[in-house]
Amino acid sequence: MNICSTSSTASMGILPRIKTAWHRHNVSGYAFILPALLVILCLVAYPFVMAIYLSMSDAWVGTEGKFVGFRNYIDLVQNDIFRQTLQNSLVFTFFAVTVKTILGMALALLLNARIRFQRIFRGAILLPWVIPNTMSTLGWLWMFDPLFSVLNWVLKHAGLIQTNVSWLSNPYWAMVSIVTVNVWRGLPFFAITLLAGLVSIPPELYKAAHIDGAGAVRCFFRITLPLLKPLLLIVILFSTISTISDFNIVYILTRGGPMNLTHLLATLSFQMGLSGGRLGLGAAVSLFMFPVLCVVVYFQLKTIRGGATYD
Amino acid sequence: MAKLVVENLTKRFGSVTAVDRLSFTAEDREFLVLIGPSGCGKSTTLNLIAGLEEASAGRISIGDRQVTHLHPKDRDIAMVFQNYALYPHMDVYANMAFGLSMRGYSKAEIGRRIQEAAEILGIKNLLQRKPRALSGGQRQRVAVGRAIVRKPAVFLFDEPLSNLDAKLRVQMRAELSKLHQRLNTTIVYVTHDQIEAMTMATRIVLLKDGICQQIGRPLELYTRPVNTFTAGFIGTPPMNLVPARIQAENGKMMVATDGFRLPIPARWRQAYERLKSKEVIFGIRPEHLRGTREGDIAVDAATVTRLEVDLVEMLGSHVQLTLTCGPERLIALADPALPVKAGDRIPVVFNMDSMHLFEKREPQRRIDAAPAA
Ligand SMILES: Nc1ncnc2c1ncn2[C@@H]1O[C@H](COP(=O)(O)OP(=O)(O)OP(=O)(O)O)[C@@H](O)[C@H]1O
Ligand SMILES: [Mg+2]
Repeated sequence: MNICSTSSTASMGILPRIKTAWHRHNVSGYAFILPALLVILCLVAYPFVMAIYLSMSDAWVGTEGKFVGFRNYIDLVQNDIFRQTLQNSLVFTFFAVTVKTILGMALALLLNARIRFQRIFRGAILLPWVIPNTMSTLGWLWMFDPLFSVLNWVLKHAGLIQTNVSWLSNPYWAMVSIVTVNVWRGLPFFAITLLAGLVSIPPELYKAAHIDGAGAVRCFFRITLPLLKPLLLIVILFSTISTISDFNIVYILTRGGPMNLTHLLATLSFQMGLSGGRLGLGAAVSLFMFPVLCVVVYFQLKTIRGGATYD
Repeated sequence: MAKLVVENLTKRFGSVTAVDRLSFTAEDREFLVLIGPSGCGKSTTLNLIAGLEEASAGRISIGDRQVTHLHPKDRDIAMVFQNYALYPHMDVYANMAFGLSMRGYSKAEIGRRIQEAAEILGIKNLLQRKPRALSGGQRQRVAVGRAIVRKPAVFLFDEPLSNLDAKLRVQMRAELSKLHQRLNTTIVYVTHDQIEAMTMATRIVLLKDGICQQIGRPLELYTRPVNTFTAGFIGTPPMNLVPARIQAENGKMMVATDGFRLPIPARWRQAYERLKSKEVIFGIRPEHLRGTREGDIAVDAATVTRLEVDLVEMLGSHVQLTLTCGPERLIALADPALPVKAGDRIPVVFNMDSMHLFEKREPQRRIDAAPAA
């Protein structure tokens, strides 16, 4: 076989030889991914490496800066605002992702049930996700307005509150508010992805489980949840990453206030690095969670690979 | 162990009537087979019995209990699905234990029953495997195992063998028959494979478009099909059915078609007198039509017709001949040694003692020589 092919290539012209090599080494495959690879290199890899370099320099806006090692990181750990921000980020991410997971699961189950106007509901559920982020958040800003907004008006007329709540300047309500907006926006992703997972579970499994004597609740915990686990973990993983790096919501609604109690890593990084001009420190803020996230991703992907598949 | 009674069972999906006033009884320990072409409502019937679908009308009882409106888990049935429906995230043991643990059996009892079932089915060495690590035949066994550990009153099987290859199917067929003898329970078994029906059933229920056509022992359906549908459905190759006219000819009754004229056996002449000059459907099974050679001894001239051979299919044990008979095609069998090729005109012996007559008008009911014999 081998001998045969070498002898035949030797007798071939240059063009056929390229053609053979093209097919034999799957060159075509690499050729197809090359454009995407270039884009990723320019738009993701370069800025990423650049950020790592910046985070180890004392660069200000307009100056080159020189290498300072881990100085920025050490400064950050000792910085009260940063420590507060780190805590905010964890609280924000934990609650937002948890609520999104639970509500998303519930919504997916509802959408999967045989209901009227199912297609309309399935379409409508995506709306918060397709409206431009900044625009919908501005809408929320308006709703949270303590004096003139619909939210306080409704609550007051429903008799739930006596005086107007300052949603965005009360430390507790500010956090609740930004979590709420994040949940509102991220829910469709959970619901639709989990719905896709639910739809792909063979209905016979539920029939078998019904006959085996499992009611709705046990069906969910013994059949649905285990089968959705791999998908659920991926969704949670993606959501955790995008939630912890959220920027728009806080930047538009609270700007990190009151008293830095709603600052997230992205907004703090923006404030320190671009508004405050300390590029190096800003880069360090945004990279701070990177090693942690890497570890999380590693373990989650490992669990997913060991997960169940249908069939 | 119980008797299953289905009365006037009807299921409508919107404008489609999937099951139409179906009534039958599966006696205790019976192996009842539901058979019919695709879409005739077999699975729907089974789902209704299982309680996975709500009946539009009619009643179902198992033993002495009305179960028509009971939840599946309270009906004391177990079901084996076509695609097995094993829980993919549980190993074989957990798959079999699921139904028992849902019913609150003790760990020890569950273990005992699973060991027993695994023993019967020969899957003891597979208990720790996940379904995806099993072959089709093994999955099949596990699916059966999951049903038998429950020791239900009635087993429901929905085309359990259709995903297996031909050889394994034959083997599992025999095993299921043996299992039925061993377990001694009532089984309702759905298939569209008439060989499965013929070999395994104690009785067969034949459905078409949700309507029951005939209920009877396998041989009964084979020898006395109640209409042309049953006649054509049971038996491979199917019964030859050709339009014919009954004629009287110097004291004999004859069946006349565009291709042949043959006498009705003497003992039925009296009975068929009433059919004189009527249009009917004449039916005869391929095994009762034999292609022969000119000058063969056993040929009685009266029941022989010369027909042209259209197609010759050698099957080893016999040859299957497709014959041209006017505008119709007839299938006949012949000895594999018969020297015959397409285009030949050969004598064909009709075994008229095994003929069938059906009414020409729908639903083409059987015409018996001795009415209600
Ligand atoms: N959930 C449903 N909604 C609407 N129509 C249905 C539904 N289930 C079955 N039907 C219809 O009912 C009829 C009987 O279906 P069923 O599945 O019982 O057929 P079957 O005899 O099992 O066929 P097969 O041999 O192909 O499995 C079909 O016409 C089918 O289209
Ligand atoms: Mg079916």
